[in-house]
Amino acid sequence: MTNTIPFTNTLSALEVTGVTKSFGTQLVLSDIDFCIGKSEFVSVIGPSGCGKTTLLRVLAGLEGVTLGKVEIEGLGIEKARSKQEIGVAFQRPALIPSLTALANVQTTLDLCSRESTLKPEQMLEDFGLFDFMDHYPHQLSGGMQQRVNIACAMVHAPSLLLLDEPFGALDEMTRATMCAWLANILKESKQTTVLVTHSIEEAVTLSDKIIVLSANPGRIAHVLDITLERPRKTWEDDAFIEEMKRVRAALKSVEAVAK
Amino acid sequence: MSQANKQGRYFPVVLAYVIMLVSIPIFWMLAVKFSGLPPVIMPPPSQVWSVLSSEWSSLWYHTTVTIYGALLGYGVANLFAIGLAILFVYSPWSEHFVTPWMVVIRNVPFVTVASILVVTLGDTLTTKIIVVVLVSFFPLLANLVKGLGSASPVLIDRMEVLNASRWQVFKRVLWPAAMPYYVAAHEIAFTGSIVGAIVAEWFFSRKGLGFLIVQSTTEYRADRLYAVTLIASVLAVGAYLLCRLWEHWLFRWKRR
Repeated sequence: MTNTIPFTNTLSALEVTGVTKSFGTQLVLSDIDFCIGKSEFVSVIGPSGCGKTTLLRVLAGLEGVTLGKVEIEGLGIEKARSKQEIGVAFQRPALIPSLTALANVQTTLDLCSRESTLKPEQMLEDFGLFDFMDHYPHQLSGGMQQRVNIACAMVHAPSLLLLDEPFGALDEMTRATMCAWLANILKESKQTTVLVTHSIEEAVTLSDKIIVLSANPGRIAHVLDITLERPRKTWEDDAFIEEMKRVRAALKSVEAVAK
Repeated sequence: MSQANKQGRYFPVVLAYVIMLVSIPIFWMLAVKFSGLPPVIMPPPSQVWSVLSSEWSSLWYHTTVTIYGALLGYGVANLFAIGLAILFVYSPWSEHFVTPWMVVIRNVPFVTVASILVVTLGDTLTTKIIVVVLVSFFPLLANLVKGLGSASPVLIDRMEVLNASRWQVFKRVLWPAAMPYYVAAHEIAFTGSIVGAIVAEWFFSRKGLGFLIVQSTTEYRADRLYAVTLIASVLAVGAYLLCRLWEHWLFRWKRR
């Protein structure tokens, strides 16, 4: 009789083991290994074309892996997808144009067989969209559309939330507001999240861990832990700026290798 | 948008139609007056109006025959178009396989096809339906294929991540995306189906508005020819306006 801790206790929310992905002869992702604990927020950054989005699509089950495996709470990706354990929001909001904001969020629940304690009305209210529930997507600003989009992605309380540059199309000020908003939302919901982004500031504001990918093919170059206290003060805080510099240096080293 | 503002926006549209409707008899009477043609060749509106009222039961019977043929053929055209469009979307190779057939069927002059059909099938409803389908099917198919293909890829991805079934993706994403294109096709094809039915009757039938045209021509009954023209125009314009109204209702959310 051994007294090792049962494996299930150490189960991580997301476990990526030796993932390699190629399209034809082109190797896009090579030997990606990482692990995310429950309620952790992880950002993936890297030079453009490093396969960030491909990695996210692999995690969402939208692309198969060439080698390796992805497990979400111990389930294979197909199984996790069939149990609706994944939520995804892209840069372009995935909203049905002929449905109101509320009906769009409800659509996610209509498609789900799983139980969720979250209510679309409550969620939109928490997202600051109380007065806009009955608005159609074309009546909402870019920032509002993206908030509805994220609500659609997490209303079914998925085990893993995937965000692909959700604020990439927004202007600088809206971006900063949305980033602070998301930090606040996720602090409340304890949602395990992977964010793909170009923005160092966004990554440092939101993440517990930042994965820096190098390009051609996409490989993990650095994994940086961000231990700043939350809520994070951004530009006023020296420690925050130090972290930004550290991430920037890591990103620079990767780009220097690429050139 | 305020109610007054809405009315303000529709006013010129309605006015334009009223002006057009009033202008037709005026231009007509002017044409009769200045051409100097006798009423046997160019009847004035009053004479055509009296034909419409005195021969109404006969005219109405032939009109219903045309409407019936047009609607039936149009229904079949829609079934085929929707079926093929769905097939093309879910198995793209089938589109490659079917396209050459479509190109040929589309480009063989349908007048000759109609004649061949009369010889083969005779003066039957089937012949008329095939002619109507030939006229109205292609705009429907082309627009449906384009519309289904216009569905937002991120929306499809969102559905796939939620493990939605094909039917759910079709119902919630593909079909709504195709609607604007489908409605636009109706504006052309629905009117086209009425023209198709008339042409089919004109070729071979013993009843329907097309038959009346042939009969009136051979009997030099210009007044009845004009009456039939009026009826056919009202039908075609009515079909078009019906499509526009449907579109207006269907996309009411866009005006919010």
